[in-house]
Amino acid sequence: MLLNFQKNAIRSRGRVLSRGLVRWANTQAMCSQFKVDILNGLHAFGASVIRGATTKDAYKMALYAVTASRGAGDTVYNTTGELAATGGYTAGGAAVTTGTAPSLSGTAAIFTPSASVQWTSFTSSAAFDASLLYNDTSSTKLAVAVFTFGSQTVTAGTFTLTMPTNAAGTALIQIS
Amino acid sequence: MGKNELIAAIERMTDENLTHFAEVCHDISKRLRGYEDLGTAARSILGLPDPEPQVAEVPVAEPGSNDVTIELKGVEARAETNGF
Repeated sequence: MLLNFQKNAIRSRGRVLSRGLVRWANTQAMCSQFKVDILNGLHAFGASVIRGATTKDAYKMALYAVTASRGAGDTVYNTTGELAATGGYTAGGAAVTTGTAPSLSGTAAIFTPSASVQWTSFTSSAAFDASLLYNDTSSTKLAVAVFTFGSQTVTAGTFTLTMPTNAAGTALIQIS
Repeated sequence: MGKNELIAAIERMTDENLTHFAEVCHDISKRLRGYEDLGTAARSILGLPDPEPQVAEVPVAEPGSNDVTIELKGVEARAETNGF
């Protein structure tokens, strides 16, 4: 049976030898908190730092037709392939609620919007299967991530994008 | 006329009408063969016209039936360090 100091040593990357002694060891790793700090915009390795505000940024989600080509190559919000601004849809999409700050779940930094994104009285101008999360505060509307789903065509309904559980392995945004 | 109304009407019949009604029923029962159902048989025997065809009720979409809800799946970036 391990003694408490031995258990604490294991938690702190130490090793318990066969004789019951503890050997400490250094471990190469990216600090978990750094990942969270990245999500919070606290680091800037680049030469030029451009922040839109000193408070948290505003984010939006836009919807894209199945014929669009959104993906990892996107750098900013792109109107190409976005649903037309008709039928209850506004160009640029809908606001994302960021009520829960980024946090750590184990060693993974996670962030998930605190509310669903919804379009009411909505008639889609085309079949769509993707949404782009982007920074609406930044002047260039920096892209964050593209989320895809099964092709949808909505007529006079409410379209809701619900958020996954905010935990390691499921969070909407995760740096692990 | 519903079943209960028909029974009530029978109960109010005079003996003469009830006798006539029983005869009709007996006649219907004898001629049932070849008819799809009792109602068709009764209408044929009594010389009544076929009922108006019932118009199929068009289902009306309930509010919210066009609603779509999708749960997004998260994306993951891996942050790793390289050794010296």
